[in-house]
Amino acid sequence: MTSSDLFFTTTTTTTSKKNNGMNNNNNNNKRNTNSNTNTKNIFKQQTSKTNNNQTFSHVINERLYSVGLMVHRDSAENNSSLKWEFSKENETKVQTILKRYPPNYKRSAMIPLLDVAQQQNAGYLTVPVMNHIAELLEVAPIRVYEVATFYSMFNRSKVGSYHVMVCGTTPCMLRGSRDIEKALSEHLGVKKFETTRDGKFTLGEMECMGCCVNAPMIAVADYTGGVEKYTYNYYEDLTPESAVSIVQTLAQGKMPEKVGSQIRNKAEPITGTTTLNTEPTGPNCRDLAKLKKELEAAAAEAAKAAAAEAAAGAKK
Amino acid sequence: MRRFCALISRTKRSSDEINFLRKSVALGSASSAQTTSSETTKASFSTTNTPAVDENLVPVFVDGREVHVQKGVTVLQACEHAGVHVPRFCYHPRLSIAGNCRMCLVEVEKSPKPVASCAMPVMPNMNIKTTTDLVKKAREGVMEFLLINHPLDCPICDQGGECELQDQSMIFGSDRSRFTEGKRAVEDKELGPLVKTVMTRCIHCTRCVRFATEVAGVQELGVTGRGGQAEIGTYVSKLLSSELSGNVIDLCPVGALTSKPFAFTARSWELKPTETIDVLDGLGSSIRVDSKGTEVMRITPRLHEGVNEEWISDKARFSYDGLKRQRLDAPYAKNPKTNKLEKVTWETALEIVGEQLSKADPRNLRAVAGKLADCESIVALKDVMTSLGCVNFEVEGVNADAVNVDSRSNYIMNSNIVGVEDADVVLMVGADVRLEAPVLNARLRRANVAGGVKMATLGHHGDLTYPVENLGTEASIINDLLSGKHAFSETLKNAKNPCVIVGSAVLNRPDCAQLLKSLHQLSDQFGVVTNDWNGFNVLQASGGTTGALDLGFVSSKNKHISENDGLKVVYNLGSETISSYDSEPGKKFVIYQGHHGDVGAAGADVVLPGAAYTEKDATYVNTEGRAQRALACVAPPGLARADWKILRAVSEFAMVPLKYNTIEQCRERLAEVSPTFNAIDEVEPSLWLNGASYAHLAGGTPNVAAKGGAGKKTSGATVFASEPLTTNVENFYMTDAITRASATMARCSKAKATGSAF
Repeated sequence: MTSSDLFFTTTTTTTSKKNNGMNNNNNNNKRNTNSNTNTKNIFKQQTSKTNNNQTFSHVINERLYSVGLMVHRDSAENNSSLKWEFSKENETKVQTILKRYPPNYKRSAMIPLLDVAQQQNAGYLTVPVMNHIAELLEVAPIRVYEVATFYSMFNRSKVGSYHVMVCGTTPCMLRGSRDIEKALSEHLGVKKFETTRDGKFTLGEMECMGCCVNAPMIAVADYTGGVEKYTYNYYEDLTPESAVSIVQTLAQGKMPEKVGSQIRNKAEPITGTTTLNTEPTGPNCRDLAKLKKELEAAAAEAAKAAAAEAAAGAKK
Repeated sequence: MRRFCALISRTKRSSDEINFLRKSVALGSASSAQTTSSETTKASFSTTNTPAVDENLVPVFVDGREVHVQKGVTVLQACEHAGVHVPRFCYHPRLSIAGNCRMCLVEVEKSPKPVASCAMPVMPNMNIKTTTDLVKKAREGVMEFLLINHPLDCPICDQGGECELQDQSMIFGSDRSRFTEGKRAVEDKELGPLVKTVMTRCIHCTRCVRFATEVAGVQELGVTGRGGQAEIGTYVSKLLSSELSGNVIDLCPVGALTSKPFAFTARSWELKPTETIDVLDGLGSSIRVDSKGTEVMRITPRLHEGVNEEWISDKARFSYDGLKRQRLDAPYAKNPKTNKLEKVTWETALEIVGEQLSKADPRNLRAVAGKLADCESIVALKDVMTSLGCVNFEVEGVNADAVNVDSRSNYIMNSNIVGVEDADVVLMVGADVRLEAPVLNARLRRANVAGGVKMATLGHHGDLTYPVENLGTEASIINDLLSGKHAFSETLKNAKNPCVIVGSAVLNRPDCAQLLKSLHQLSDQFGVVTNDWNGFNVLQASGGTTGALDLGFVSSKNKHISENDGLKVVYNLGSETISSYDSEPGKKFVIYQGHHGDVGAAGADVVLPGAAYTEKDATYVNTEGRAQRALACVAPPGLARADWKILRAVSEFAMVPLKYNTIEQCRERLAEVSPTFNAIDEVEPSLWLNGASYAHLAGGTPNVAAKGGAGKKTSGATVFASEPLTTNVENFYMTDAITRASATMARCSKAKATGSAF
C-alpha cells in the first residue's frame, strides 16, 4: 500500500469488504469500462459511474498534483550548476522571436522562448534551461520560474517522447474522458502522470483545450524530433478503443490517419450538417465582381487623366 | 520640513502619515519660517468644505463626508484621508499595488460590483461607501476564502497578537467554517538564519515578493504555481541574500514569515516596547526595542521619514543577542603577579584609574573614543582628560590628523539622507553602501530605479542592487576627473545636483588628507556644492563617530606624545581598534571602558564595565548630523553602569571632578560644546568653507608647483597612496563588539559564506 493509498484508508476498506478483499481498485475500474465496451455509438450515454465511496479529496488531490511540485529539487541532471544552450538552428529561431519585441520589453519573449526550449529539450524545462532564458531576457531567474510554473503546458520534469494529455474538464468528463484515461492507462501500463518504462509515453491530463464540441479529446505532444518535427495534435471524438489505437500507431512510429475529430469532418453536428448546405441564394450584400470591375475602370481612367496632364505639362 | 516635502511628493501614504500630515496642517501655519512647505501641505490635504482652489484636488465623498484629495490617489487613500480605515493585506504604501487580497473592497456608487479600493483611482465626486451591507458581505466573503487554507494554529504562531489576519477575522470572520474539504499544506522554505517560514499560513499577499524586488533589489522571491497551488518561494532553494531581509517579517501580515531568532521566546503582549535608535551603522535608524525583564527580546523598526522610513538592516534587527554575550559585568584589573585580569570592586578599579591618570605626565595621556560611544560619555571623557592636561585625542576609525573637523560639513552627509534622492548624479568614493548602510542603499536604489539618478563608484564594492558605472579603484582617478581627462567629468559637469558619497574607509587612509582635499576641490569644481545644494556626503560607519567629531574629540594642533620614558596612559572608551596606540613603543597603561570583552578589553590593564546602547539614556549623532536620543530599555548587566556616570566617578578619583552631576547637566554641557545638541532630531545645514578646509595642504591645484613624496603634489597632480579604494566593511554582519558577540550574526556570516543555513 503506497502512502497515497494510506491517505484514503476509508475508501479502501469499504470497497475491500464489497469485493471480498480482492484488489478492489481494478475491479471498480472494470465496472466502469464494461458499461461502455458494447457501444459503438459514442453518443450514447457514456458518463462513467463515479464511485460513491470515493471521497472527494481523492479527486482533489489527484488534480492538485497534475503539474508537479511548485518547488525545485536538485538532482544530478537538473540543477543550477549545469549549463544549457539553444542549438544552432534554434538560435536563429530565438533571434526571430526576440526581434518581435522592443529591446526594453525583451521579457515579452519569455513564453515563446520557453516553448522553443521545451521542444528542444525533449519536452521539459530544467533549471539550467530556465536560467539560460533568464540570461537571454535579462531578467532574474525567478521571473522565468514563475512563468514556467504558472502555465501547465510547460513541463518541469521528464516526459515521454509522446506526451498524451487527456482533457479532464467537465464537457469531456461528461462525454467519457475518464474511460479514455482508464483505457490508455491500462494499455500503457502506467498511472496518470507517469511515463512508460521505455520512455515513449507519458499519460497526462490537461484542462479544457477548447474542443468541447467534439468531446472527449486528447492532445498529443510529439517530442521525438526536437523543434523541427514537433507537433501538438488534437484527437477528438474518441472512444477508448480509438484512443488506444492512436497510441498504438504512434508507438509504431507512424502518424495516426486522422488528426482532429475521428469521425467528423470538422465540428459539425454528428447527424450531418443542417444549415448552409447550399450555395448562398442572395441577395448578397455587395456584388464583389461588379465592384471590382468598377474600381478597375475608375483606376484606369485616373491613370489616363494623369498621363494626359503629364503630357500637357511636358508640352508647356 | 523636508520630511513633509518628501511625503507630499509621494503618492502613497499610510494612515499614520496622513494623520501626521493633518496635524502638520494645523501646526504648519504657526511656523512662519516653513511657509512654502506648509502651504503645500495645506493645499494637498484640505479637509474643509470650501470649494477646492487647487486644480489638482478632486472632491470625493466617503460615507457621505466630502473630502478633497489629490488627483490620481486611490480610493483607499481617500478613505484613509477621510479617517475611515479600510482593512487590507496586500496594500502597502511603500510597495507597488498588487490588488490581490481583495480585502479592501468598498462600494462605489454606480459601480455594479464592489471595487478593490487599493487599486482604484478616485474620480471627481465619487461616492464611496464603506459601511454598507454589501461591503460587509463582500469582505466577509473574502475573509472566508482567505481562511479556507489558513491553519488554525494561532496559539502556537509567533504572529499571534499582532497578526493582521487575526485582527481582521475578529471583524469579518465567521465563528465557524463552512469548508469541509481538506486544507492544503505547503512546504516550508529555507530562507536563511533570520526568516522563519511556515508557508501554510501564507495568504499570498506578495508583500515579501514586492519588497525583495522593489526595495531590497534582490529578485529572489516569487510566486510559483497558480491558483490553489500557488506558493511563495525561490523555486530553486536559495537563502535570501539581502541585508534588509528582516523587513519581510514586519511586512508579512500573517505568521508565514516570522523571526527565527525570536521564535517561541515571547508573546508580543508580554513585551515592553522602548522607542530608541540604532547605532550599529551611521544612519541611526529609529527602532523599537522590545524587552522582557532584563532581556532584549527583539528589535523592530520605527517610522522615520528622514532616516530609515520604515526599514532597518538585518544587523540592527538581529544582533541583539550580542548584547547578552561576552559582556563585561564587573570591573577588572590586571594582577601584577599573574599579569592576568581579575575581578575587582568598583572602588579598587577607580582608585587604580584615578591614581594612574593623576600621576601621569599630561603629555603622556591619551584618550580614544570608540565608534559606539555616546556623546554624554565622550564629552565627559574629553572634560576629564582636558582637565588633566591631555592633548591627545582620537576617534576610532578616523584619521583625525587628516580630517578637518572645524566645519561640520567636512564629515557629515550634507545633502541629508533624504537629499540623496534630489541628486541627479551620485559618485560613491571608497564605499560599499550596501554593506555600510543598507537602508541608505535602498534609498539610492529607489533614486536610481524610479528617479533615473546616475550612479557611479570609485573603488571596490560588491553588487549594489542597481546598475553603477565603476570608474576604477585607483585614487588617482580623482586627478583625471579634476583635469577633465576622464569621461565621467562631463557627466559631473552637466549634472544639476551632483552628489559625492565618501565612505568611512577614506577617513582612515594614510592619504586621507590629500584625498579629502581633492574631493573638496572636485565638489567645488563640479557644483557638488552650490548656494542651494550641498551634495558632499560623508557616510560614517557607526553611531558614535559623528558625535565625537562634533565634540571636537581630536588632538589640538600643538599635540604629540612626548618621547620621554614615562608611562603612557591610554583611556580607551570602547574602541576595538587598538593598533593606533598598541603599535607605539614604550610602556603603556591602558584603561578600557566599554561593554564587551573584545579586543579593547583584552589588551587593557583596567576594565570598567559600561552600558550598551540599549542600556543607557544617551545621545548619538548620525551621519547626517542629526542628534538623536537613545533610551535605556533594560538595565546594564551586573555591575556595569552608564558610561558618563563612570567617567563622572573617574573624574572624582582623578582629582578633577566634573561640574555636572546629572544627565540633564551633562546635556547642557553638550549643548555648550556644540549647538547640534540643542536641537534633537533636527538637521541644520552646515557651513561649507569653499576649499578653505584643506587649504593648508600642498598640492591639488595644477598651477601650484610643489615637490615631495607620497601625498604631495608632483608635476601638477596629487599622488595618492597606491592601495585601491575600498570599503572598510568586510563582513556586513560583524562590524563591532556587539555584532561580533552575536550568535545570530555569526550564523548569518556563515550562511553568506557558504550559501547554506546549516
